Order: sequence, then structure tokens, then C-alpha cells
Amino acid sequence: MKYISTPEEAHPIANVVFEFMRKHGFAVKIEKALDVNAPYTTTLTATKSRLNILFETQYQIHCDQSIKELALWLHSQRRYAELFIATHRLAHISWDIFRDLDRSGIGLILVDDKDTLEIERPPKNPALIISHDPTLRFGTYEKKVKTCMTKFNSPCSFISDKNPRRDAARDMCEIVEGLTEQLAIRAVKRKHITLTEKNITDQDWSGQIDTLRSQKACATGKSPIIDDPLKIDLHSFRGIRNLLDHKTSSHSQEIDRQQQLAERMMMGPRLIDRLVKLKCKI
Amino acid sequence: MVTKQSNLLNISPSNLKPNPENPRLIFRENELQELLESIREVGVRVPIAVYEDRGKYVILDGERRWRCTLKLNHKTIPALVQPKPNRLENLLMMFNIHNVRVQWDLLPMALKLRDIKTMLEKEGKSTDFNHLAGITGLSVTTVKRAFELLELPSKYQDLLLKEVEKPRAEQKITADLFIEINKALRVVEKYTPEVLEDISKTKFVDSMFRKYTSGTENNVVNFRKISKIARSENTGVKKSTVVPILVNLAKIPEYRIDQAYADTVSKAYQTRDISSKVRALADSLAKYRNTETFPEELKSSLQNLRKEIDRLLGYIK
Repeated sequence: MKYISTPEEAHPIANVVFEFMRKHGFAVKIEKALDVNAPYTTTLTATKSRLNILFETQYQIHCDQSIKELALWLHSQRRYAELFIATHRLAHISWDIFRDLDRSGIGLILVDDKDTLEIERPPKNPALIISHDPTLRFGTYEKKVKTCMTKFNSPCSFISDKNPRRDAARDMCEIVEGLTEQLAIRAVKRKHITLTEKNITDQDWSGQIDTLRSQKACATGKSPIIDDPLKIDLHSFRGIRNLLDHKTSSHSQEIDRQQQLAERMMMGPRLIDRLVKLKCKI
Repeated sequence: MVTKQSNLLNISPSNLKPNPENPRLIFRENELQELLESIREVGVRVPIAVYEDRGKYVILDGERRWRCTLKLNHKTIPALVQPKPNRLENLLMMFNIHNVRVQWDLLPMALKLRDIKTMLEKEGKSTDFNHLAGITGLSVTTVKRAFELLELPSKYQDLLLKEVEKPRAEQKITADLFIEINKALRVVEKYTPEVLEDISKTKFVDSMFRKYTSGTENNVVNFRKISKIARSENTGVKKSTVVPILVNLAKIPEYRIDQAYADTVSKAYQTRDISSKVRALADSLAKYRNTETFPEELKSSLQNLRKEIDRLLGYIK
């Protein structure tokens, strides 16, 4: 393998990462910038479907401004990419470096003399980082929603076994589902809906959404609790269950799945805000 | 992408290639990193020097800057274009431009020095160390050391080339190790050639190398003591005493050089050392004739010395 801008000491580490990624079906390029405008060229770029995993190999680890700039650029572009620094297992890693890696969302890979590779810290994929409108209000669900968002945004690599995003999406789903049921029960108690509490609890989530939009279920002189757009959004959000329950058969599908999860997760807080407000209104 | 401004051009880094004659094969992480951060902040302030060759530009000066611009994904790098030199001119330019700035590793440099020597020989020019030092800007000692390394078996040259890829602080096997071993071998060959009847030169080098890598010897300077042992006749120790010891030193891996030195010439060198110091002291003291100007401090030291001399002479009786 021919490296030009990678210092000699880092070549053995780069070779191990190169082989590892190739074995995992990635096309690996050496010293090729991700884009003409990228501020830095990493040692390796592994690509599969639309995912790019960038590896900067270093013999003595240093999280300099140039690599931080690349991390910042990836985030500003919301690139579907992961950025790692790969170094030797025995390299001295100071607390400051760990802090810089965490702040910049850069992952850390350790390579040992037996050419084995371990993900010490996963990176953050900028395309999968979600946030919500700060004006939204979640009432008593404030803490739960924030925990979900933090869990979803926590570092996670495509090449790692651990994936906290699914758990976070499941938690968000449970919050919205629970709130839908609570809203319907409250409507029953306030005589806004003519059904009984048991009727509501016997219904599945889809049924409860339909009940909240149904004119037939409303008491005389009352209008449905939710409007059509909210009904559509709730049903759409409900689809997150399918995303969680069905396994993907290819990397490309998995990448799609991760992005769909991120999109649904962005919907979650907005729906919770609406449902909380409606609950107070009844 | 090339924009012409007199002979100063802004050239795309991908249009450049490293100089095949640059002996500086190794680019270390810490050296590159400092430059990279500087270029990231202020850009390339000093243009690199290049010459044109078949549609590409070959770097004469500025390979590290070029590597950094590649790393930083710069679109262009300022470069001064010079006329294409011939191979000898190119090599000499490499030496004169680079070696004054960054210390090259000895073996990669030695390999290029050999090429220069061959080309000079073809042109019928002098290839002695002084001339080579003069035209390359190196010191005569460095040239000599470089050519000493070229005498090493290729397995050790390969090992050294691999070792220089590591940061300097982590290099255990250095050019100095082989230079010291080679010096010792040459002295053994000259003063006690009988040793090499029993063990070949290659095995001698192998054995000394193993002593160092196994930790039996931990200082390259220790190999100088082998030369002192081989030159034992200068101190009055018979060659027949030291030859078996030197053979054992080469054959027994755990046998330390310090031990071999103690077993052979240590006392003789000590005696010679003290004798020469005593002679020098006697000469110095002979200068004092007038006791009135005799310093008090010296008087007291001499009294202590006399005590020691009397004590020793008492034993001798």
C-alpha cells in the first residue's frame, strides 16, 4: 500500500484497519479526501452504500485542530459519515484527548501488536444527530424525552455491535403511545367521548388515534379532539414499530433504516408537545 | 490546474511527485504534525522548488510542505519552477538543500551517497571522503560513517531501514550500534586476527548484535572495550591470553564485555593510566623549586598523597 501524507510510524496501524474494513465488505481508499472542500484528508476512507467511515491513523495520538476541523465540517454538512482516529493500543492517551474526541464526536480505534482491532469509543454520525424545536414543551415528560434524545444521539458506530438508537426510538414510541391513550381516557372522563375507559384500553394504538379523530365517538355538541394532520402524523409515527421490529437484509437497507429512525425521532417531540397541550385543553 | 506568474506557479498538489533521489525516505509524525498545523493556520508561505518532468512536477525542495498540503486538501501550492537537473546535479542538490535543515537518517543517506560515488567514478572524478564531503555539504566523519554502514550485511541494512521508521526516541537498533560493532571488528582483525580463525566476521557481528538486542549489553559504547582488549599488547598483556577470551566473548551469549575486559586488560590499563598520571604529576612538581611560593593547599594534598604512597610501598616491601 502506498501512503504519501501518512507518517511512516502510522503505516502498520493503517494496514490493519485497511484489511479489517476490506474483510467487512467496504471499499477502502487511501489518502483520498471525502470531498474537494473537505478541510482534511484522512489516511483511509471506507465506503459501503452511502456510508463513509474515515480513519486517521496515528502512532502517537493527537487530536489536533485540523482533525477537529474535519469533524466540524462533517457535522456542518450533516454527512452520513463516521470519523475515527486509529492508534496503537499502547499509545499514551491523555484525559484531554478523550475529552476532545468526545466533544468532536470522533471515535477511537485501538490496534495491538497482534493486528487485532477494537473500537474503544464509537463516533457520532452527523446525519443521525437529532434535535427538537426548543420552544416545544413536554410537561411531565420533559425528562423522559430528553433521555430518549440523548440516548439516540449517543456515539454509535455502524461497525460496532451496540446500537442504542433502536432502544431510544422504542422509548420515544412508548411515550407517544402512552400519551395517546391518556388523552383518550381523559376525554372519556371529561365526557368528551361517549366510549368507556375499558373501550379505550381494549383498543390498540391505531384504534385510539382513530377514536380521537372520530366525530361518531364524540359527545353531542363536541368536535373531534385531534385534527386530520395530527391523525396522519400519529399514524405515520406509529410506523416506527415496523422499523424496529423488522430486520434489514443489507447494509444499504440498514443505512435507510437508521435515517428513517432519525426522521421519526424528530417527529416524536413535536407530537408529544401537541398531545400534552391537548390533554390540558380538555 | 496551473496559473503562471513568471516562474512562480500555483500547482495542484496532485500534479506533483516526490523526488526519487531524496534520501530522506522517512517522514516522522511529530515533524510533519508541527508543519501541518502551521500550514493549516497560515498556508504555505515559502514556495517549494520543483522541476518539470513529463507533464508532472518533481519536488526539489519542500516535500514535507507538499505532504501537508495533500493532508489539508489544499487546491494549490506555490512553487518555483527550476530547469531540470541531471541525476548527479539532482542528487547533490538534494544533499545541499535538505541536509542543512533536517538531519537525515544515516542509512538512507548512505545509499544515496553510494549512487553519487558511482556516478563520480563514471565521470572519472575523485571519490575520496574529503571530496564527497565537499560536494554534498556533509562532514567527512558523516561520510565515513555512512560508508561504514554500507559494509553491513543486507539483513542488517534492512533491519535498520525498518527501525528508522520509528520515532527517534523509540529506536533501539541504531546506526551507531553497527558502527561501534564494525569498529571493534576491524581492530580485532588488525591486532588479533587469530580470533577470526575460530569465528567468522559475520558470526562475530551476529553475536555482538544479539548481545545488544538480548540486553546482555545495554550501551553501544561498551563495544569500544573490545578494541581495547584486542590491543592488549600495547599494555603488556600477551595476545595468547586475550584471544581465547575474545573467542569466548563471541561464542557465549551471556558473556559480558565488561567481564571480558576485567578478565584481561582492565588491570593493565589501570596500571598504565596511573603510571602516566604519576609521570605527569612528577613533571608538574619538578617545576616548583622555591618552597616559599609553594601553595598551602597543594602542600596538604601532597602530604595526603605521600601517606598513600608510603602505605603502598610498605605493602610492596
